[in-house]
Formats: sequence, C-alpha cells, structure tokens
Amino acid sequence: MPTNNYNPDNENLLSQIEKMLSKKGRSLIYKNSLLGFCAQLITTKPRAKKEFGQKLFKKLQKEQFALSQKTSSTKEALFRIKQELSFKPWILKAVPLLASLLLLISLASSDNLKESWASLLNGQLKPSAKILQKDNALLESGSNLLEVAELKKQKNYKVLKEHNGFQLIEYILLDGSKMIVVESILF
Amino acid sequence: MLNRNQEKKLVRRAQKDPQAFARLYNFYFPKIYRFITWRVGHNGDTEDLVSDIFFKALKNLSKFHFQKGANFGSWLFRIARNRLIDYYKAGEKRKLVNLEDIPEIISKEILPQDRMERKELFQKLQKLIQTLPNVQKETLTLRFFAERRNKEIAEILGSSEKTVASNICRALRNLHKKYKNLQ
Repeated sequence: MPTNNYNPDNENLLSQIEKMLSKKGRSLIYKNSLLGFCAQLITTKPRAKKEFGQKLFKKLQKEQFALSQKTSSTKEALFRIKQELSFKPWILKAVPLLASLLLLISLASSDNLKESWASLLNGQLKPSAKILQKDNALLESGSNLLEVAELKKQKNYKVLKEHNGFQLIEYILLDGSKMIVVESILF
Repeated sequence: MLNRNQEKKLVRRAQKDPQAFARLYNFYFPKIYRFITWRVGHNGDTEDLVSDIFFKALKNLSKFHFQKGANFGSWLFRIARNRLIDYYKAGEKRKLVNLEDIPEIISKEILPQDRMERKELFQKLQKLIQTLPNVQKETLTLRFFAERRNKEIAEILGSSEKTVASNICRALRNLHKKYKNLQ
C-alpha cells in the first residue's frame, strides 16, 4: 500500500486542518461532516490539574538546582587543579625526572645487575650466587661459567635492534632477570 | 509561540537559569500532557509519564544540540514517544478507565455542556484512536493534540513530510468512518 499518495483532496483537507489549528476559520467548517469531526477532535482538549503542573515544576526546579550544583562543583574542582598546576610548572617537569632517577637508583642497587655489568666488562657472563643455588645441574657438571653462547643455544635472547654491524640483544637469565647487551655481528 | 532562535537561546539558558526553563516548561507542558492523555486515557498514568518525560529531558538538556532542521520540540516529543513505547512494552496500560480517572475536558461551544458528557466523548474518541494502525495513531496525535507541524512529525517519526501528510488524511477518514458507525 503506498504511503505518500498526496492528492488534491488530501491537500484541501490539510489546509482546512491548518486553518482550524491556527484558530482562523473554525466557524466555516461545521457544515462539512469530516471537517466538523476534525473540529470536534481538535477542541476536545484534556486539561491537567493545576496542582500537578505546579508540583512537577517545583520538582524539576529542585532537580535543576541539584544538577547545576553538581556540574559547577566538578568545574570548580577542575579549575582549582588547573590553577595549582599552572602556578607550579616545575612540578610537571620534575615528576618524570624524579621517577627516572628513582628507577636508575633501584636498577643500580640490584645485585644481579652489578654482577652482569662485571661479567660484561670481563667479556664473560658469570652466574650469580642465586643461579648457582637454583641450578643444581650446572653445579654437578662442574661448569660454573655461563657464556653468552650458552644462552644463545637455549634461545633465551631476543635481538632488539641491528645497526651498522652491531646488535642490541636482550638476554633472559636463569633467574628470570633480563640483561641488554650490545654485540658486534662480525665476531 | 516560540521561534527557532528564541527557543535556541532559551534551551541554552535553561540549563542554569530557572526562568528560562520555566518558559520552556510552560510552553511544552500542555502539549505533552495532551499528547500523552490521548494515547493513554488515564489521568494517573498520564501524570507519571509526563513527569518521567520532563525529568529525562532536564537531565539530558546539556546533551541536546541544535542540528540542521531539528529543534527542541521534536527532541522532547521523541523522548515522549520513546517513553510511550516503553509503557506499552511493559504492559502497563489499563483496560478499563472510569470517567473519574479521565482528565477534565475544557469546555467549548462545539462540545457537550455537561462535563461528564465531554469526558464520555473523549473516552469514545480515545478508544477509537487506539484502534488505528500505529503510524496513523502517532501521526494524528502529534498533529492534532501535540500541535506539531508535519515537518517536525517527520523528524520525530523518521519519515518524510509527504508520508506524514497522507497518513494524517488517511487516519482522519478512517477515524471519522469508525465514529459514524458508532452513532
């Protein structure tokens, strides 16, 4: 069934309705039964109780007040934080610097890292005391030296970057700690 | 009557200013009330629905943006329409409504003088409207009782202006025929 058959009859009816709704030609329409019916329909206006309309409006005003308080307090809090931060711009710069310093200190104080650095400087990787305790198999075989080649065999490494004949490799040691080493591909 | 610019300013101010909100409320309250009453028929249910609609509108007022062609009225009536859909889905509708539960009908020369007779007439017409197909029912109530223009109805229902116009005519003829059969 088509929904948009817009014919002249419809157009006439719609313009009459328009007149009725705009309260211009209500007296002209009573002769026509369909338009008379329209007029009856339009004038049958249910009215809300006054108390209901007023009560609802008061409730809405309370709600509006609560909502505006909520949004203004959030805005105020945000504004205060923003202002405090704008007065102390050094905080914004100092926080990441301080965090990096703390990280460096904690890394430097790590025993494993110290040992790793020492072994790297010696050109060999020596197992730490913890590894010696954990890895009985190594102790039994008498080999207390763990070379980079050994680690490579176990595939406990990951090449992070290659550049101009050098590799940046991350080794995972037996105790689970990680170490990053720069190696030359040529050797 | 509010023009588009006036309404735009009022809506922006209404988020903070109670006076601006009061103007919007006074303008739309009778229309929303009539629209809901004609669809529901029961005064208590109408009051609950109208309250829900205005509270929802107030809470979401900050989210409302004027878009091309869309206005505050069509946004508000979309809220009303959705609330009605929920109402019918939940099966909250009352089957029998006493005349006492029907709101007062404003006296006009064309209508019966007796207030109970006016209520009876309203009940008869309201029941007849309920028998119309959904689209016709919605279009007719939005045009006649909510006093929305065809363009706005098209926005609310998501259809074209031409479809709205033809649905109004079809609904009226249909309703008139049913009404004549009742006499």
